[in-house]
Amino acid sequence: MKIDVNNITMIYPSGKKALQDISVSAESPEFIGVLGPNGAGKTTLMKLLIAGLLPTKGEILLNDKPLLEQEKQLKAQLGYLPQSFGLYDELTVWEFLDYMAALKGLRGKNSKAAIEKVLECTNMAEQRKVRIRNLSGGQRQRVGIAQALLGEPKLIILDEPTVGLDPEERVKFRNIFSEMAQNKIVLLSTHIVEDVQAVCNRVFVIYNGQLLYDGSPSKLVAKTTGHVGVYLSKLGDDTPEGCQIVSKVNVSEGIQCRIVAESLPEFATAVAPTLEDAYLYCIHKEGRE
Amino acid sequence: MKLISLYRVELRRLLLSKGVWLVAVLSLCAPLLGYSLYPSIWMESMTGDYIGNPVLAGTTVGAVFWAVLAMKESNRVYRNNTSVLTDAIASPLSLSTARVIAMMTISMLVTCVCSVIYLPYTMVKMEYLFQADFYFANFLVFMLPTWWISILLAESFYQLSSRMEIAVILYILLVCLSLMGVTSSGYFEKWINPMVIAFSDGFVTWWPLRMGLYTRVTWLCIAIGAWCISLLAIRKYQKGLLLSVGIGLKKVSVLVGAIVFVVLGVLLWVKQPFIDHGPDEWILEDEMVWSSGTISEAHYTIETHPRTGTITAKAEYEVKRPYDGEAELLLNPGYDIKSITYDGEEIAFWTSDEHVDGHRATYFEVPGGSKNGGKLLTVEYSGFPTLAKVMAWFSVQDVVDEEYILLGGETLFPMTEYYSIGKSFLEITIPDDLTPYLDHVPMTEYLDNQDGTRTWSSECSVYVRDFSAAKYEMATFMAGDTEVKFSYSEVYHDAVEEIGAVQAVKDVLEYCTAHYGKYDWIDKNSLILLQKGAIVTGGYAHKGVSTWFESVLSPSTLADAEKGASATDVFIHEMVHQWWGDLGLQCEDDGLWSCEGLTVYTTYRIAKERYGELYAKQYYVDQWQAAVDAQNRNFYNRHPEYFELLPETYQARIRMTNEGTNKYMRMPLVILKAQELVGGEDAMDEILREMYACRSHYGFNYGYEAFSYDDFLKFCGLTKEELNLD
Ligand SMILES: Nc1ncnc2c1ncn2[C@@H]1O[C@H](COP(=O)(O)OP(=O)(O)OP(=O)(O)O)[C@@H](O)[C@H]1O
Ligand SMILES: [Mg+2]
Repeated sequence: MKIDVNNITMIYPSGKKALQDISVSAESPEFIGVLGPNGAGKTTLMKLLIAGLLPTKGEILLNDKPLLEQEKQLKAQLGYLPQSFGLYDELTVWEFLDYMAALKGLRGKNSKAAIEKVLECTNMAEQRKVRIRNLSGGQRQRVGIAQALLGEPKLIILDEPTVGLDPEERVKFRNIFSEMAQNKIVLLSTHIVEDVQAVCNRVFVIYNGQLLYDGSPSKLVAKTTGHVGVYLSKLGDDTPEGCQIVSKVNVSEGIQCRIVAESLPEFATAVAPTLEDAYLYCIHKEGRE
Repeated sequence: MKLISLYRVELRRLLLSKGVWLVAVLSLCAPLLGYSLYPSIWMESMTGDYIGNPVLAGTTVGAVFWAVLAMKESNRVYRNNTSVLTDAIASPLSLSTARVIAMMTISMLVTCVCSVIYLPYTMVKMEYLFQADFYFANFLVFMLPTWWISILLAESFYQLSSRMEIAVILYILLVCLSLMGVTSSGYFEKWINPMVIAFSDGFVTWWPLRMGLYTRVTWLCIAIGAWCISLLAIRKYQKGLLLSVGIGLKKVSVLVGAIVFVVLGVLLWVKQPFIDHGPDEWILEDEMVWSSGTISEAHYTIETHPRTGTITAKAEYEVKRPYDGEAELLLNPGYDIKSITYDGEEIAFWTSDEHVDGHRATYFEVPGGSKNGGKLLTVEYSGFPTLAKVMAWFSVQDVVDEEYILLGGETLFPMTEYYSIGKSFLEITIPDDLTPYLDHVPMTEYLDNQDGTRTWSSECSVYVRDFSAAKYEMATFMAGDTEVKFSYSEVYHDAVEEIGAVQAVKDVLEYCTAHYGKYDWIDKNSLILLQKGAIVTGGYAHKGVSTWFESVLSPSTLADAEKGASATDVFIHEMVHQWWGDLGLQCEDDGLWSCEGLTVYTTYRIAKERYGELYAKQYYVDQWQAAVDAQNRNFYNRHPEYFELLPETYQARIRMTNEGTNKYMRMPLVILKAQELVGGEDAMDEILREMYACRSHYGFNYGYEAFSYDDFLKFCGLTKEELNLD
């Protein structure tokens, strides 16, 4: 499986430019995390990839052929979890997954086994007979994930899959995703940088419709070395010019601030960056330009 | 194939949905409305009441339920945002197709269940008149296709607008179009409430079903076409209607399907063979043409083809003197003229598109004109008879069916004013189990063709008003010095025997002739009493012939206790109407005085002769008195101020009961009182005889007023007050 995104620009009918001249390509196996602030264009990118939207400019190739000519092949190999979605409330979890499995072309024993497997993964086995309308928000989300993973699709696109999950579940899921990623392409958008760090071998940072970074997380971190620092501040101090505060921790001596900046002020001591620092630095830098 | 598995999945999902079950149950109940609240067929017959009306009500009302379901199901996937999941892994087009086909499948199952559920009740109610094939055909022809059409149209509207409210409005508009009718060819617009004029019990004709099937197929084509178009308009890539259609047009197969079905539907509509396509207004002839051509003998040879409902025929004229110039032939517009020859040579002819409703003119000119006489003119024609537009709302005139054939006028053979015709002969081939009547007179001569058909021949008049053939039975007997031929459909064989109908007719004829005078329609001591089916309207009588309707023998009529004490008495009552009714003395109906009073009174007198005084008193006079007493005692009748307070429906019901009592019970009592005052039965009979003698003054000839209660008082020499019962 191979996807090429060539110079994609997406302008919504409202005039909103959601993506601008994006080019990336991916070939399995790959586990890509997509980071970006609200409204950056992550969902838009994903919708383009599943042929739910048509790009205003540029083209997407699936296995070197235009995506629109490959819609059938795409649908046959796709597992998609949208950011917001609805389920058939009157069906039970099992019935719903059975329905989705059938839509995916799974039959008989294969279908049963596949459903069992995703129920197991998503920890929903006990709720199989519960009507969807009676599920909690997190449980619905898990049903959504379950249907995306059904039938081991070759391309998995997950748009903020872990919202609404408790931390323990979240960690479990990111591991599941990672396991699944073998010889597949997984694209996962999230606001939790830690998750990306934990499982992704590649990360996209999107900001304001632009692709700021495409590469391994470690490289992003490496690029940020020297741009992250800490200093002690007193209450009421202004944020230093050209810096963005990443965190403020109350310590006995005062408030310990962690900042990212193009050039650190002298009172700050440089520290080793995390991916979150790197991400924020990336965005911060772009925002200032 | 992907579509088949999608279909299976959708079917399973829909069957798990409560909405689907609700709609199924509601549609199963919908036929109940047809029994009383929402009857479509006004002409009464058992088949109409117990098959036609429930099926048609179920068809129309159920169709609305299915449409609502279709729109709701489509809408919810978008509203609930389930489509983002499903559309990602399956084509929305295929999914929508699968969903519609699944819904159509379920509606088919419901139709089957429906036909089974109503079966026992219908069989019990209709007794011997129940015909299984006709019963099931109604569900198949009307209910199922209409539900499908409704689902497809509702889906189309939703998919085109992708907005529930717009879809609902469009759907409602289309329903209104169907219910109200807009054009004069309104029979075809009735996509949701198919038009059925009447169903006959004893003279079963498939004509309404033929037309029903044709309109259903037409609308199904249109609906499938519309639905294909809407498939193209399914919103894609979050684009609007126009861009989506632009993208959709790439689906060539769907586009071709849309075009093919729409064109097919329109063609079927435009070419429909059932109702005349002529102009809306009658074009009247400018001037009368006085025939100057003469034909010595005309021979008409007609073959009927019940399977297709068509005829093929040949008219051969021995022309003594041809008409100079273009002569006109009128034929049923459904027929095509294959050829016109003169002396073996084909001659040119042309057919006018502008024609009088129900008959179309063809023009031809005999070469050489009046000088070229003494040769044979042949006209070959064939086709499926169409109905005149004006007639189509209330009567099927021309039918060629396996069990019933009815043809007349220009539908039998060509008419012309340009030629006078000396003698006419008709030869007509029909199934051998049918008995033909030519202008209500039984035909006698036939040739057995040994292929299940017979060819009947007879001399006929220049204009045959009515040729009918059915599975008739005939009882011949003498009533006084009149030979009576009493004909009825063989369906009623047992009923006729059970109630002693033949003896009853004899008794009525003898009694009424003796007491009131000779029956008008007896000619040279012979009378044919011919039963007619419910699909033809209007009583008919001429010299020697009188028709009566099949409803007289139907179980629901015979069970009507108001008209007589037993089925036989009810039958006698209906026969007495030949004296007091449209074919005899026509009476005004003022809610109390009407033909019914006289008819019930005479029925009582005949019952008295047949069964004795005790019976007549017990089953007639006492019953009348009891009913009138009950009416007088009724709380609301005694207290009009409370009656006013009742809801309208209750008031109407009480009013109807009162009117029935007044006409059928109170009036006979009034006549009985008059009888006392004028000096007994003989004196009363004398008065009634005088009244009947005046029948030509009252009503029967249009322009005269019907015989009123005041007229009756005048004849009796009594006043209203004297006849007051209270
Ligand atoms: N259908 C639409 N019509 C017009 N503008 C849209 C539409 N969908 C998204 N946008 C705009 O496009 C931009 C990108 O939206 P998108 O949903 O891709 O962001 P996102 O990165 O997924 O954000 P979030 O993290 O909040 O989910 C936003 O400014 C949004 O307002
Ligand atoms: Mg998003």
